[in-house]
Amino acid sequence: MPDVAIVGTGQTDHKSRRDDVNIPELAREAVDRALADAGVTFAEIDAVCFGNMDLFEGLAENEHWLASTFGAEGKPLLKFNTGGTVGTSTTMGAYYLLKAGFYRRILAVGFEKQAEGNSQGAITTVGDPIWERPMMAGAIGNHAVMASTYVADSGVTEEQAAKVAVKARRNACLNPHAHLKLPDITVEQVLESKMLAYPLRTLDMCPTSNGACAMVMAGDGHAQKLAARPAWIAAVASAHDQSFQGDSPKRMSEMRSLIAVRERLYAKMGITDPVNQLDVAEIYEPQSYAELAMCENLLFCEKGGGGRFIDAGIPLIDGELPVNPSGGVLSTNPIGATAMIRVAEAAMQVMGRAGDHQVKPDVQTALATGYGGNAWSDALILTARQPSR
Amino acid sequence: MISPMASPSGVAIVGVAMSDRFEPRTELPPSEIVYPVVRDALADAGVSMDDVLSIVSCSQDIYDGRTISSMGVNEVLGGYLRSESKVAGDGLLALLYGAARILSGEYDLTVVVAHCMESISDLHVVENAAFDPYIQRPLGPDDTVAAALQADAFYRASGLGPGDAAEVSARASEHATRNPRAFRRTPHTAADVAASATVCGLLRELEGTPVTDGACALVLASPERAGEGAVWLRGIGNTTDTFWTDRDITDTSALRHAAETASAQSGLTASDCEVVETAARWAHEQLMHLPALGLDAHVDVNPSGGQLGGCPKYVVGLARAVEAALRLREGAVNALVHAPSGIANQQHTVAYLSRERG
Repeated sequence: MPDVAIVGTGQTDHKSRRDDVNIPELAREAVDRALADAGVTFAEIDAVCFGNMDLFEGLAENEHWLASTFGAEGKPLLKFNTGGTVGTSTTMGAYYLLKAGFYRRILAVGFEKQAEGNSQGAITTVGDPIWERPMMAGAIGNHAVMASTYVADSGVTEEQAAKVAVKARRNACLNPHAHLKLPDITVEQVLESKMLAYPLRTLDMCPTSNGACAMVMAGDGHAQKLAARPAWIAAVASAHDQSFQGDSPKRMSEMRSLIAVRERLYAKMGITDPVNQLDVAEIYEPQSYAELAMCENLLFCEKGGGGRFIDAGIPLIDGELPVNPSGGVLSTNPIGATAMIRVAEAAMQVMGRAGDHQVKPDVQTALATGYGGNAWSDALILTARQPSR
Repeated sequence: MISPMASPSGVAIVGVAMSDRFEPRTELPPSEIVYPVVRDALADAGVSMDDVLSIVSCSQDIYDGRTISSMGVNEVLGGYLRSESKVAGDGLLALLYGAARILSGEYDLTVVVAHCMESISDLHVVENAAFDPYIQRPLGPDDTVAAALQADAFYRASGLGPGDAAEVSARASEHATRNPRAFRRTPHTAADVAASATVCGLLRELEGTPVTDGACALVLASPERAGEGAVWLRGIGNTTDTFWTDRDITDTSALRHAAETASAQSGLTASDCEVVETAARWAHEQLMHLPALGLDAHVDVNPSGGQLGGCPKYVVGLARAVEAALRLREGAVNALVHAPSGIANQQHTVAYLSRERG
């Protein structure tokens, strides 16, 4: 079973509208950048893994329409479709296909062009049609319920959540691909922004972005030829919570899926002190409160300690464990690409290619997570050291 | 060019199940379509869900009328706290991914499940959503229109005609009649096909597949977990072509490439196989596909009745694999399974199954 690494990444410059390109052209921008970053052409790609959410743009089976966009003609093409996690699901699919030895090099790609669709209309359909849809339409309604329970359990304050919102948009200013860049944002501005659904204000939420992300992944023996310092995938894990919110009342303060994933990854990697053993984390935080809850569930701090964790500055870009130096989901959210961006950003940190938001020159170990659907968690640990060596 | 892919030899199929009968079940939610096949496949394998940590599902959001269709069947798949992922395409792609999970060494069991309910949607609307949204979709095409254009082009290029397709359909209906799982319960003749209603272009109603719902599940295992009587996945190839309007829709090079990949991995060819289960939504497709698989266009295949006997889209590839596995258990040695997906069959997966691990 060969080790598997990420050897090149590419992203569009994510924006609220991209009227200058159509859907294939948007996806192709990221593909071309990833191929260039890895120094390969389509001829060297054995298979394509693609992730996107059909209903968000009202497209069905769009892997067929987009096959040539991905240079997939004459090759295997797998479409993944799992919600917010689709970018990590796609990455993990490519990981297993390479790990199995089926292919040498895989192009992984995800995109969303939300301006041509109705994402919130589609997200509303995750709820039970009778019990949930009328009450918790779209992402905001669901997250307001989860954030409220987290506030009740942890005592985290609006100011502490606002600090997460500020951190994200300031970090985004260091990332040329990030969508929402607010260099002068303050905690006060977050607290004064429009209330969407308690406790979530406009600046507590992720934006609606249009963009794409792609990665070139390769197996042992091929990865080393394409990158001087590949980002090796040392461990992957995935878990679901139950589908009904009512079946997991502490859905955010005690994220059962994230806890399950954390336990599997940390056991495999021997991680007992993540703040010191991880160099950087790119986690899928759909809103400000979620980042604090996820940091608790990832044992970056004690339970109920998310507020104090941000107060102490630990997750800042120059802190002890930088969390989302890219600006995170709060700054960029093209849904079909969002989770893959977490992996790509973690890979860029390990490869030393993160530019102005590189947290330190020698990132040895990075964590990336995906989040979506029924409080579904994916997580990957990337390392500079080859896992089996 | 065949990529130097590893052989999947070492992936065992140890449990199989399908819906009792593929038929419209509009009154049921997808979860009640999926639960029985997962339950039955686990029982067939002699394992419990407690033994399983890995699941790969296959379904389509637009057919289920919701986003993340796998979430609607999460609990019955055993998704809670387990590693479940979903591919959207033909079910054989889920088999490919599930096999990779076994070969990775990270899981010794993986459940592979596909479901589709064709009966709950207006098929014209959902099929139209797969066409190019900027130019083609407003013109109103659906899969039937594409199939009719393909049939016309294929007949012009091959010299075959609707009479040959009618023979294929009649044979399929005879086989389906003997298969309790298939939808068709009464055989029809080639003359019946020719006399049936015109659907679109040259296509007659009885050349096509009936609308059905259903699900299919397999339990994959590592050699250590396989035990006696396992069926082995010996090779699996997938190849896509360009979009239907960017290619000659009579060309079968993607299918040939997928078949060559599966042959290179398995060391088997179609002539080594006593069982061939190949999917076709319209009878002319089988006439196109069999030569690309290395067989005569008129050879008698699909002892199950195939998709023409009634089997939902996206489930169809896994159902072919299950039908083949059941016949391997009854004494056949090697089997070839194939299913296409996409408009005018843009993408193909071919797999070889065998009683011998190889």
